[in-house]
Amino acid sequence: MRKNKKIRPKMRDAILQSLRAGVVPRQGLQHIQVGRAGEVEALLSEIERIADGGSAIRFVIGEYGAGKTFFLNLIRSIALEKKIITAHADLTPNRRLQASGGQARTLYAELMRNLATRTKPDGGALPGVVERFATSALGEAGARGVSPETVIGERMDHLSEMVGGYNFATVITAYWRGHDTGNDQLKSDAVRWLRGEFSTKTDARKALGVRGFIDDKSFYDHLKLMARFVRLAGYNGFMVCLDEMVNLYKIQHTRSRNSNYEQILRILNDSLQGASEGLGFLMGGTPVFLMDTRRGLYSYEALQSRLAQNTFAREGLVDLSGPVLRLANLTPEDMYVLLDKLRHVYAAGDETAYLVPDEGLTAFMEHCNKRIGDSYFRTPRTTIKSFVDLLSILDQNPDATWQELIGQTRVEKDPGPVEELVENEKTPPENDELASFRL
Amino acid sequence: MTEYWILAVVFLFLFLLWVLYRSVRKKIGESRSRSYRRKKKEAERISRDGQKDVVIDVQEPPGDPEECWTPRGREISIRGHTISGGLIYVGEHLWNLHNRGVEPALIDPALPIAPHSKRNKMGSFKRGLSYRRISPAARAAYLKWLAGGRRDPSIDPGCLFLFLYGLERRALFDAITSGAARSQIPEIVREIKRLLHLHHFHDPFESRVQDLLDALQAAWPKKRIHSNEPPRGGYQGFYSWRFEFGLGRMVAGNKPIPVDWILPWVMLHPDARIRVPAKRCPEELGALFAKRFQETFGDGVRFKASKSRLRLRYRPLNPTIDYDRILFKSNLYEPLAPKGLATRLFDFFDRCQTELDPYSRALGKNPGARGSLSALALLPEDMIESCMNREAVNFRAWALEKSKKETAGAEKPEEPGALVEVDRFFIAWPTKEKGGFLAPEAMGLARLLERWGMGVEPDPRFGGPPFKVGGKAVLFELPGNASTEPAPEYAAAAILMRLSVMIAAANGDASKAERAYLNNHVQSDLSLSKEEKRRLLAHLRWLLAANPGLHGVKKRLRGVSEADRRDMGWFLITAAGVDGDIRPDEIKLLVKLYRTLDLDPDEVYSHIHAFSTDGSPENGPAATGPSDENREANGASARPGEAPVPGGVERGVSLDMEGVRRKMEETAKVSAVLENIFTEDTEPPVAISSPAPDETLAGLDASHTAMFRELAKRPSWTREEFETLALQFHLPPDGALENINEAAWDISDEPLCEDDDCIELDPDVLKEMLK
Repeated sequence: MRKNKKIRPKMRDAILQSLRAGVVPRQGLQHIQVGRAGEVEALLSEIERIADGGSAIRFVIGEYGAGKTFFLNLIRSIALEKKIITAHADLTPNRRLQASGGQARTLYAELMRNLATRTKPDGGALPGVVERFATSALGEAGARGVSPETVIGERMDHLSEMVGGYNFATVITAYWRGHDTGNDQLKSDAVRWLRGEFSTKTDARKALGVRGFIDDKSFYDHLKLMARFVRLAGYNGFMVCLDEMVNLYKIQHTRSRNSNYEQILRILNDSLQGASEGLGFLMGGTPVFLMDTRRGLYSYEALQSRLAQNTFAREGLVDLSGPVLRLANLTPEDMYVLLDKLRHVYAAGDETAYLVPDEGLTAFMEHCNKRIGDSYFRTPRTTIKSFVDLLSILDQNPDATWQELIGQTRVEKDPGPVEELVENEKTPPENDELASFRL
Repeated sequence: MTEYWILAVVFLFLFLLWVLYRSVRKKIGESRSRSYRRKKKEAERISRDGQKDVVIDVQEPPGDPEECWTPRGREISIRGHTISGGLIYVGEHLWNLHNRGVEPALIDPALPIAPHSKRNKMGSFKRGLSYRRISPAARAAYLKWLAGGRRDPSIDPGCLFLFLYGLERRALFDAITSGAARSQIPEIVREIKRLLHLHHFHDPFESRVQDLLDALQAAWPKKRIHSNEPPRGGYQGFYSWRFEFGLGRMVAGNKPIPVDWILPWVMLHPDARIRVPAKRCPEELGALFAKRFQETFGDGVRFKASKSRLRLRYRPLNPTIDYDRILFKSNLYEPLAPKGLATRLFDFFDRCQTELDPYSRALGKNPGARGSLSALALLPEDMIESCMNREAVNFRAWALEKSKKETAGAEKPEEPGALVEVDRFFIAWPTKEKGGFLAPEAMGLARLLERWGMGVEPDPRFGGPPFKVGGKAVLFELPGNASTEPAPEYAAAAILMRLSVMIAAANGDASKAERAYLNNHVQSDLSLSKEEKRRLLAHLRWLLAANPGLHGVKKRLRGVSEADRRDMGWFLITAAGVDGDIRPDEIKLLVKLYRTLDLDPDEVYSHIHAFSTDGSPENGPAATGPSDENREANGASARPGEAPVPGGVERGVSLDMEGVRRKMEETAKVSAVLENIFTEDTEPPVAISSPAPDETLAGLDASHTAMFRELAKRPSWTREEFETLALQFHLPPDGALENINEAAWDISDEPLCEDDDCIELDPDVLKEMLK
């Protein structure tokens, strides 16, 4: 059952470091993934569909602490492995799918900042992607004996027909021009435009000669353009991971909340109908976000009918084909296996180097249970942190025994989800339009 | 000055004249009105005269009864009515026995009669009837009856009595002095018997007419009074002769006095408290008294004989005959109830009346309700059977037939009884309110049905609403030993069913799976007795048909502990999800119900999530933050129907090693999948669209290969050096680095170099790429 394959020290350190900091590791997740084979396989097929030029959307629904972020990261790293470019961002009150105050543009910018490829899994891959597009165009130009501009122009024709495609193509061409003429300013302006950092038309025209920029309204269109573009650049597809979707649920103002849900509906429709090419969405949220009939996705009639269709797990039969993927809460058994995995990683895959025996794992769980109750497995962040700390102390002090150290380990209770300050938009009074109007 | 004096004198004179005129005028007016009043009085006296008794002159002789008496067979014509039956006094002058007025039975042919009209009533008995005093129309009716041979059974009782007055005087009093009268007694006795036979006298007159008959028979033929039968009714304060004789004989024979004698004895006793129930429902009271008497006193009670002889007083019908004259003395001794016994009997009788109070009140409000369901429900239980009317009997038969219709089988879960229309209840039990039963009425019906071995749902005693017009109810067989009020477990289970049915019916009708699920839940509830389960199943059936909503639920939830409410909440989720899916309208309702249950409505989503992932609340919502302490302490994670597990804090870690094994297997599976992905090397290198020349390396195109070869010559490059190198090969530096790293990854699963200020090549990767 156990893998005897060694884990690379770099990967091991990265994993442990992230876990000690209480965040989900960016890589090496396959070493600490526990269970969820069905879910992983379901998403694997989605990834393959994206890689084949298809489209996909999944809502990953789980309680706080059920491992949504972990799961999203895992899927993301699988996608990267399949040569799919990923972009991820957490939604916040300032980052939304649809807005009029620049929040959608901010989200777009965040996504572009976090654009990742296999070689740059931590983000910041946008310039690389654009250059790779240029390089491949250059290669083709060399092979066909035409000028690179011609090749780029031909390729950009595919994009120009799409909404906002003309500007996009112009910017990409500008990038090439900057590269060709050694104009670094032009190159960086082009990348800045692609990142969504321009916020006025004047600036955009002055810098790049385009009439528009990426704004709140064109958020989704540009994601579609980007999906098409990365395929032109030689990648298999584009996957967008949006976490903390519950922030949409928290929007007080009904109209703006609904316009966000409308955007989700648009994405959902495009994905289910295959209208977006090589583009996949993963959205992570809590059950409330999905099911609340007043403010959740279910409050939006059209989404409700599309999402409430798949029936759920009964008597061991699981249906994972619908757009909603429910992550079960963790159990003590999951925790046990996870601790086992952790010590395996800590020992760099060497079973003989285990610092704690099996009894130690149960003893540790017992200890945590005493300290913080059953949240030790429900919200495992702090438990994992303490366990890795324990392993590290054991590692550094070969004389100490686990029995005596376990009693001293501090485990803190997870404070729960951080209640972000919900932006209190001023709700306009219902009847202020034409309240009193007289000629 | 003098003119003024003259003026003043003239005015004074005029004033005096005016005063004089006023006083004279007043005098004249007074004398006029006095004479008017006198005249009016006179006129009134005159107009009244025909109706009034003629004031009797003391000097006048009393008149001869023999002259006035008309024996049978003598035909006589009065005012056009020919009377041949005789036995009446006819004449213009006969005093009554007091010698103070006219004999009331005397028919004075001179008095006018009126043609038949509505005003032919005889008037009040209390003031004493008299032919002279009744209205002309009543006189006409009386004469007509006499002329018709005294055969009309519908005649006003007043006529009868007027006639009896005459017979009484003739037989009891004229007979003392007159031989002729004595000889007429047998004839009179026959006539009285005939009348007794023909007319149904209301109490208390029957006993008095009987007394008259007995007195006549005892006085003249000296016959023994037969009294084997207890009397029917009487006059409070007086016992009939027959009754006193009968009692006296039983006491003399030292026999116990049976109940059918005791009841009249109590009721006619001057000390008895006769209340409304005794008057309004004497039959029911008699039956109840007999029943209770049998239970308390057995066959009868014994009276003792007093020292004095039994004296029989005769109370004449005719009020003008002397009252209270003792006519006879018997050989028997006067029967006497021992004092303690009398008190006991009175109390006992009073208790019986009290038991009938509600029934009597119901009859008072609606006299037609005698024997109907609504009245039966108010009777003491053991009286119901004997007091049912036909409608009630029909209803019982119908209900029994319905309640026996069980539906059970392999396909359908057991459903006790039958669903019936409530409107059938209304036919048998017309209610006060048009729209439905009042709660006490519905309870009464439920009690009645219970007595007949049936249960009904909704049953107000078990928290159900009263029946409404157009509603449904379930009738089912129920063993008699079933409890009549809900145990706390039953109450909680019933509320749970009510809420569950709301959930099940949230999207139209409850599905088969949902019905079966609820049924199974009831069947498997260990805290309920067999009868309670039966009732609950019937309740469930009713709920599914009627779905009464949330009305009144909150009130009933007051006594339910928080842990139980949590269990209820969880059960509702499972009930909603039993058909494999919880729809938004169900969620909406769940939120509402959670609020009703006083649970946090936001938990609905967590619970649905927990249910939809592994179907157990054990892995329910994450317990975080201080607000969740309570929940843990209350054993939030207990399954419904099980004892709540103590809070998570106290509970030790109990690992399901089988679960761990399964988890490990699944983990191994997923690890294998992931391993396959993360080390996969089979795919062709990233397609870089230029055709690959022969001397390419590691899937790179020609220019990249050339650059890579150059790059491989040194282990590390600065960023500037690298960019210069890229420019030599006409490649954009970032794109080139990305492409080379991609290729490296494809080969060795690691990048060749990190994108940094100083680019260092990984020797292992380099070696592999150069192969």
